[in-house]
Amino acid sequence: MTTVFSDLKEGILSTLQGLTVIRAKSAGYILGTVMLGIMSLVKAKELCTMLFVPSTVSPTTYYQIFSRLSRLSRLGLMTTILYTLKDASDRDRLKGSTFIQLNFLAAGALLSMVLYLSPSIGKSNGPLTALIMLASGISTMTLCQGVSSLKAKNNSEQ
Amino acid sequence: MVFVNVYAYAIGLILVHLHGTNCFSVPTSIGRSNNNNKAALSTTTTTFLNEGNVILRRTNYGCRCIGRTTNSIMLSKLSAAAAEEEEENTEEEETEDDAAATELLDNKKLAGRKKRLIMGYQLSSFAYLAASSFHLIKGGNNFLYYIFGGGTFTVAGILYILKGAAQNDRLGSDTYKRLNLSIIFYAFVQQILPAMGLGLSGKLFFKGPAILTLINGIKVSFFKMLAMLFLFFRFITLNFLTSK
Repeated sequence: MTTVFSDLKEGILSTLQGLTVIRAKSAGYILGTVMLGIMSLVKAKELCTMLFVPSTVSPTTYYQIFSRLSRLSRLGLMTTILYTLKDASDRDRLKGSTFIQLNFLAAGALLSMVLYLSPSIGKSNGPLTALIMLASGISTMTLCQGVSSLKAKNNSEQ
Repeated sequence: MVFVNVYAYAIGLILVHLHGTNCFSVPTSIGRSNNNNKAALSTTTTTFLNEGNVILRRTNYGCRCIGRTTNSIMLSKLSAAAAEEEEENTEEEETEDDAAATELLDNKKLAGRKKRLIMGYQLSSFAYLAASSFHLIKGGNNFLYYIFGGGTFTVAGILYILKGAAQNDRLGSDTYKRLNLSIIFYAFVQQILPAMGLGLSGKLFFKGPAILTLINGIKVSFFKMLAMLFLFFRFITLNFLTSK
């Protein structure tokens, strides 16, 4: 039990320390981490408002709460992937097979997010369009990074 | 007929994908997978002359005859006996031998645990892959986002990565701890979510992989017990909902 909590504490501390390291080579991953982190924080805030400060005018249904929870978990997953990639990029470990696979996963995740949000490009201007542009850019970057590190790995093996 | 198909599909999937993990072989002391352990064990038996160490020879013999469960039970008894002996005996050679024996037992336990971990990760990964293929075939609103955007396919990929890490003994590093935690959170949320509108196959593909992931990801026994209790109630409610 105690080992679990000490592990958790150390992990959180190392994660926070890793977030303070900003390097030019991992700029795209930092951008992605911050974007998805903010999105998941917004979802968490919505969830907290629904649970603890319910409005009397429009009462929240269980469906709304559970859909927020589900989205929070997916966004958390994507944030973890991008943070892991950022960490690996800081340590020059992107050629490992783990991080190649994670790159492709992140590319797929962000691309599907872009496809999901794309119908609302024309309708709502401003932040959402910017978000879509940012997500598509990061998706392309992760895809290119994955392909290039895969090629580099294959070359070094031969 | 639909139910039958779903169950047959699940069982076939499990059998097919467990085939590669070598989990059907029984890990006795003469098994193929741990030849090193066998050699070490035989050398220790020959050097032991103590009265208490007759047990070791007997258990070794028993392990060869009987299967896996008795093996583990006997080994646990043996480790207790070895610990007692360590307290009693003061001669150097014997304590060294005992230490070697306990080390060997620890190695064996670790090897078994690793095997189970790899098996579990592979199983849950393929379960999530099956769930994503199910959703892909079924389609629906924004189904691509629900599969690839931090959904079932992403989780399947991360579980595959974790399986590779378990094979190379790299699960202790921060990267994999982080991924494991995120996956546990995801599976926990999936367990909490209600599955009212889905059919039986939908429920199975929604809850089943998450159960596997939770059991595999949580290694602490207390948490595991809690999770099992939770899953038990979950199953009861699931059955109740399907029977309506």
